[in-house]
Amino acid sequence: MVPIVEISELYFSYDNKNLAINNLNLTIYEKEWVCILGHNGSGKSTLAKLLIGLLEPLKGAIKVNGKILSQDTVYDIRRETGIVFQNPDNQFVGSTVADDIAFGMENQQISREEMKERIDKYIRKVRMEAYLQHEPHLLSGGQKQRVAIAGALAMNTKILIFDEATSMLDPQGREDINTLIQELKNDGDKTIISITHDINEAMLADRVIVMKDGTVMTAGSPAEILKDEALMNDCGLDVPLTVKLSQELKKYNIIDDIYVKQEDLVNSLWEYNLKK
Amino acid sequence: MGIQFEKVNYLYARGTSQEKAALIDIDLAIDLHGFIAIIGHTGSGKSTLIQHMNAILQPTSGVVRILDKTIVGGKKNRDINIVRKRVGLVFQFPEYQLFEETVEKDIMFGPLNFGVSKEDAALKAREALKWVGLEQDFLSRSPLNLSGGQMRRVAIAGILAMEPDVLVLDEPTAGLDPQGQKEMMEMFYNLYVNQHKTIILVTHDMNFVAQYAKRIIVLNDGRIVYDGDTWDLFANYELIKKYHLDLPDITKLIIDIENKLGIKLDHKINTVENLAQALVQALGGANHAR
Ligand SMILES: Nc1ncnc2c1ncn2[C@@H]1O[C@H](COP(=O)(O)OP(=O)(O)OP(=O)(O)O)[C@@H](O)[C@H]1O
Ligand SMILES: Nc1ncnc2c1ncn2[C@@H]1O[C@H](COP(=O)(O)OP(=O)(O)O)[C@@H](O)[C@H]1O
Ligand SMILES: [Mg+2]
Ligand SMILES: [Mg+2]
Repeated sequence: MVPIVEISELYFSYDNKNLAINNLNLTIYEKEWVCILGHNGSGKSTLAKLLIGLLEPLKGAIKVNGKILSQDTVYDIRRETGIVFQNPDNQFVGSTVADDIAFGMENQQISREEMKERIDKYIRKVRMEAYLQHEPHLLSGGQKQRVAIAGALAMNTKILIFDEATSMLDPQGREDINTLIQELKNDGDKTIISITHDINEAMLADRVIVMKDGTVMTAGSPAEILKDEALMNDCGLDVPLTVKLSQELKKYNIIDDIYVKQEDLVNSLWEYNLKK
Repeated sequence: MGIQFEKVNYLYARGTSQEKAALIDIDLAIDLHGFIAIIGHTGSGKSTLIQHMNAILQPTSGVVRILDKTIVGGKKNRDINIVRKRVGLVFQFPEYQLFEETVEKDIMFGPLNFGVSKEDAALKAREALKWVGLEQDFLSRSPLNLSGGQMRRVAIAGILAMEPDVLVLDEPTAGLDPQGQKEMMEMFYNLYVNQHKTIILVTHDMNFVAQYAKRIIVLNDGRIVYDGDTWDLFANYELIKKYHLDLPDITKLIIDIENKLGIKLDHKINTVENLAQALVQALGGANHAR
């Protein structure tokens, strides 16, 4: 496993009083899909902004793709790191959806034709092809999120950061994006860092990172992390339905394990039903 | 009384190349004291519809009756301020609603605007902040320097402080952490049960819909395509498929179990405890062998 983001002893404060990031250490590996969970105000968005050099740490080091983040490297790092912000309105610059996506590719040094191809490709992936000539600010909330995602994807960067990028998508839209992430992972060299409150999305990730009060509480596989009820409650989170049902069924001795994945829970029930 | 829509149409960007019929022939009657969910794909018209409920948007044609006020499409409608006090709307993006220098001033804005004294407004601000799960030290902070979820909480507090009869909520749990989502929905439900408020909720979370809303309205391309009992909709797989809707997690789990085990379960089971009991029964009782 090759590290692509390495963060050590990171501190940040907005007001020189409260630490929004408080001794955070984290390594993310190439081609990983990690989900970052955490309570409101735990520092997730702050971390994302530090990663692309929009905020400057008080202390600590960030290394992205082998380069230590500094004034000399920040533009290189941004060229390799696409981000979708929590509120897409803060991100739109073009006066049409097409312009907006093109704008993101401006410093990627690619031809006009290639740009056009990518716009066409990614706007279709998010099912917004009918809106290319519309003004981004006048779209519905979920449509804005779709366009912002298409814009980040079109930049074809090695690293993609989604900050609650699907929070206003309808269920089908969310599924589309999760499938898309899977595709990107399978046929490319992309690393995806997804900040989310959606436990069902976290279940699909390679690794889950839990933040609390500006630091990483714990990290591990979804199966490991998401069944830890005490931890989840302590961090403003919740365990998945599968875990809750496992706990209930254990009381009746129908199963002996706590399952996170629905498939595993259902299989265990199936086996019990055969044996009994 | 309540809120009624009669043949309501709404056009954005009328007369331009981007003209968009966001609402088409909407007929709708909402009585006071209900808990109603509005769902539909992105761009289906949910936000447009609910912004008519406190006259932030007025119909291009048709009539909207809000409590005792009638809003006629295409006319100048006066004295709508009273409607804004009685029907509180929380916007999809909290940023649209926050503009004062401090959280305290922001939450006090509504009550002050509707004639509450400064002292009372300040009290209401403190109370509302508690309801949305924020500490009192947020009062002096700038609302624009908050995390996304904190902003959402302040925006909701601002509407709660006005004590409206009808609360219209546009995706109010987006951006909240899972515990915050649960607490916020519980709070809305309590307002409905204990204070007889009317709650109108736009959401993509079918778990909350199943848990709290008796009635559900489905929008598709600007039209109402379903208006009725929530659980009847979730049992109607044809409609669910046709409009690309989702089922609650528990229903999906029940269907998965049925298919794999070849057993039958009640699809309307709505709590983990009840599902566990139904399963134990279907599988021949608790296992005493181990
Ligand atoms: N611009 C700012 N100025 C001052 N404080 C800020 C600013 N932005 C965020 N904060 C504070 O920093 C802390 C971390 O905020 P951050 O936005 O990183 O949280 P988050 O984990 O992304 O939360 P959410 O889930 O609500 O989006 C919070 O206490 C927040 O109030
Ligand atoms: N201010 C606006 N100007 C032009 N079109 C708009 C505006 N706001 C929304 N629309 C369009 O109207 C339709 C319905 O939007 P909206 O009610 O926000 O959808 P929803 O809330 O269901 O996602 C969408 O196609 C959207 O692009
Ligand atoms: Mg955030
Ligand atoms: Mg909307």
